[in-house]
Amino acid sequence: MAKKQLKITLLPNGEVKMQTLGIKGKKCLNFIEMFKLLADVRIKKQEFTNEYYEQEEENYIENKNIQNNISY
Amino acid sequence: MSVTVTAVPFLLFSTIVPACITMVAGVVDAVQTGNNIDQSEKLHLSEEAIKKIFNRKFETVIVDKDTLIKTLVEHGANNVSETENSVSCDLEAFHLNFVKDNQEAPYGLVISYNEEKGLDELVENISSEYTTNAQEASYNKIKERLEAQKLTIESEEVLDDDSIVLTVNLE
Repeated sequence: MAKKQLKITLLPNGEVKMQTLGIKGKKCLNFIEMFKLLADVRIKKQEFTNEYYEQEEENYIENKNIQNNISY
Repeated sequence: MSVTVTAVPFLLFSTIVPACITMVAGVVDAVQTGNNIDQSEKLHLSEEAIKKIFNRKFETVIVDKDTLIKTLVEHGANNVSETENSVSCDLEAFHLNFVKDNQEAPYGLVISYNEEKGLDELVENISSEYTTNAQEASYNKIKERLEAQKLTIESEEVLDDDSIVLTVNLE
């Protein structure tokens, strides 16, 4: 089973990219919200790969919830 | 991977432009200071003694005042002053005045100068250094919040183009 990870790239022009790794199906959408709260960003563009349309794994472990009141 | 997201931090307004400061107008106005020409002739002052000040306007994507001031100070700015919606300073041979209409708007920039030499290079340097500071601020923020959420970073890598890549474990 592929490791479930986030790959976060901070570009020198200030942009921040995030890729989900090892996560199938629409669960990956949760991580977009998580990323927005983690990095204080607004989304400019998002692209879905074939993995997004694959069936979610039944034994997927829920991602940790990020509280909406994260303070910097 | 299943989704790739590109995002802009709130330190930068809206979208990234090739440079975060871009000129929107040529010389906006030229202000003649000192004595006027009639006066100068009566006082036998040379033309060189009459100084002209030029202004050029720029658009920026700079939103965050603290990061802006940090950038200016690191670049060697003098006489840095700030109000709620403005920051001004002297840098090299130029006077910079950053002003925004409201908290969410980006700063507009007016640079005042006698001689234009070095102006474009200054703008390019400030632009580049601000985005570097924005990258650093994002990096520190993300690491701090990952730690708070007890999410581990499996690897951290700096690429040849100075991008920073963090691989975060979710389980």
